[in-house]
Amino acid sequence: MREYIAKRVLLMVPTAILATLIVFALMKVAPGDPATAILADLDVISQEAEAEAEARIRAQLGLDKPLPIQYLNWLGAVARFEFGDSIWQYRPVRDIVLERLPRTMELGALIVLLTALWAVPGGIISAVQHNKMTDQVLRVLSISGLSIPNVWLGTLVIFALAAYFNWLPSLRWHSPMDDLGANLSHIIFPAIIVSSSTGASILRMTRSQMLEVLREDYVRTARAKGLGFQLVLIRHALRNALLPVLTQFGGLMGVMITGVVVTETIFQVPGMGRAMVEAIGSRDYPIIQGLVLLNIAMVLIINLIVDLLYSVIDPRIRYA
Amino acid sequence: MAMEGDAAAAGVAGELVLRRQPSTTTKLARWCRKNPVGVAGWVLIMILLAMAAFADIASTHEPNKLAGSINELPSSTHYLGTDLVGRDIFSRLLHGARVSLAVGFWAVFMGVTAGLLLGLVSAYAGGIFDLLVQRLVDANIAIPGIVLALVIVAVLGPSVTNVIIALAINYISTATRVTRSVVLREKARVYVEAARSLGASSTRIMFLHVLPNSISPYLVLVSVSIGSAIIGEASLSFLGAGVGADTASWGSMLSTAAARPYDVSWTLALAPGMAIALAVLGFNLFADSLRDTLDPRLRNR
Repeated sequence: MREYIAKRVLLMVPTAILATLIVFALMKVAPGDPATAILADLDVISQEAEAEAEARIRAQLGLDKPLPIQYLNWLGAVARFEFGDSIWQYRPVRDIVLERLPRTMELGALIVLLTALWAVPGGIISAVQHNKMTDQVLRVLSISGLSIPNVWLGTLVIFALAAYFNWLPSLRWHSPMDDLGANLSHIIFPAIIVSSSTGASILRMTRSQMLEVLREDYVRTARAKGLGFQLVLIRHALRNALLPVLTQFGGLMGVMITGVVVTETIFQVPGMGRAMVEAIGSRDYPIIQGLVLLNIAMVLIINLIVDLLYSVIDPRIRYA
Repeated sequence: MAMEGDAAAAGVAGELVLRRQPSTTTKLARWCRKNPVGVAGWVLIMILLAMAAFADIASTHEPNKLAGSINELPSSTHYLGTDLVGRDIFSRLLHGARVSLAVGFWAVFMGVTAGLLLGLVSAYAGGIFDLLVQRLVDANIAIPGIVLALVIVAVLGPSVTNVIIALAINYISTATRVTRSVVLREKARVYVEAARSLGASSTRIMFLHVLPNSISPYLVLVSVSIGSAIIGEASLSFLGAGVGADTASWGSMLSTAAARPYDVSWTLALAPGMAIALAVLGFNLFADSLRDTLDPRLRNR
């Protein structure tokens, strides 16, 4: 087991390096870099002064070195847990992440919670009531959830609240430490909206898995020997149906870190997704690289945890 | 098929009587009866395609010119009113269908096709190449699609073609993985061995024998993904990395409403979003039925 985990963790390194390399290369191909942007902000008197200023800015940001060296420098710093300073915000990327990550994690946790609360029971009920009215209604609900874009749902919610209830949801960020009520009444909207689409896919997965498992012989055996339906459902069927659902939840959490960009923007939640979009817009390389790395690390670690959870739920699965 | 029909008529030496294969039309009719939901999806898709096709004839105004005062409510001149700068929403909606559907289709088609070829070659070549491709796929999947698309549009600049490319990248990895697993399974089949023993080259086996047998998951992936690509276009537009604010697309229209929900007429908040939702619904319904028919194994993806 320990060996297995060590092997998986070691395999993460090349994946993470590749992914950051992809993003690094892409950003370098992009027209315009921070040096020219900073220069545009300055009032420079003469052509010579401009050239000199540009050279100094580049040297200061390390942009004058060859590209492979720039990347290796960044990688070397990362190995020492230094992620560099933001070009525009004049502070370490680490501070920005520490400030924003908890907000997105809170939103993400709420999304996962809401999703689990409506989609998993929904999927079970849908499977048990196979092809009955409840099943049809839940299926229509879930396919609508998949079809309605979050951007639109978010707009409609704000529009409806403002137009018909004459009430604007407060779109100002409150720390949950200071004012939990204000915090929740703000992020509950993006959480509900995102969970409508994430829940849709979880519901479909739960439903199809349950349908498959309920047809298995061991379920029939358990029922035949006189066990109650609910007991069989929870103890026998659900346990086996849950594995692929869990994988999907894992994927969901990984994407959550910067994947909630759209809803964070609509509801003005200053989280990781927002930070990412702003950084891409202003070519703030250190932030982009840092956030991408963090995101990848999270995805890989969550995948590992999900795989390990497998053996907890299904003791037949053993990792060597 | 014709030969089998003849054989059935002749009775083949009186021993083997083959049943006539149902014609394609019969099969299609049977499929429609069994999949009313899929047909509903298909009808939705057709209606939206018609919108795109007849956009020039059906629009009442030039989509990109000022047609009246700003934020007008629906009237007989402006069926859906006007937007923030006074352009006719109905006409823009029709023309937007072209852009949005084209972006959705081409992004998915290019991405999934690239993934199909990559997965095929990767599974067939094996070794270092396979390992490298798999690591690349892992790396790609670990970066959230929307972030990668944002970066790519930042690199290439906002335009319809670039949005298509940015979205297409995200479909490559899934398609590569699915195709690779299908090909690995097919490779172990007897027909491949038979072809090889007859002296067929690897390339021939790969493209003439294995590829046709991997086509079902390909079709399923394409139909499943188009909806998400249409949503992707809307999300990119909203984040300022779309097809450009002046190009009428459902995404760019919706993002105007989403960015300034208090300043637009209710039709702009409703119409483009509804069009997107209906298009995605149509593709999802159709894809669901297609998947059940073509590839029951994929039902859980």
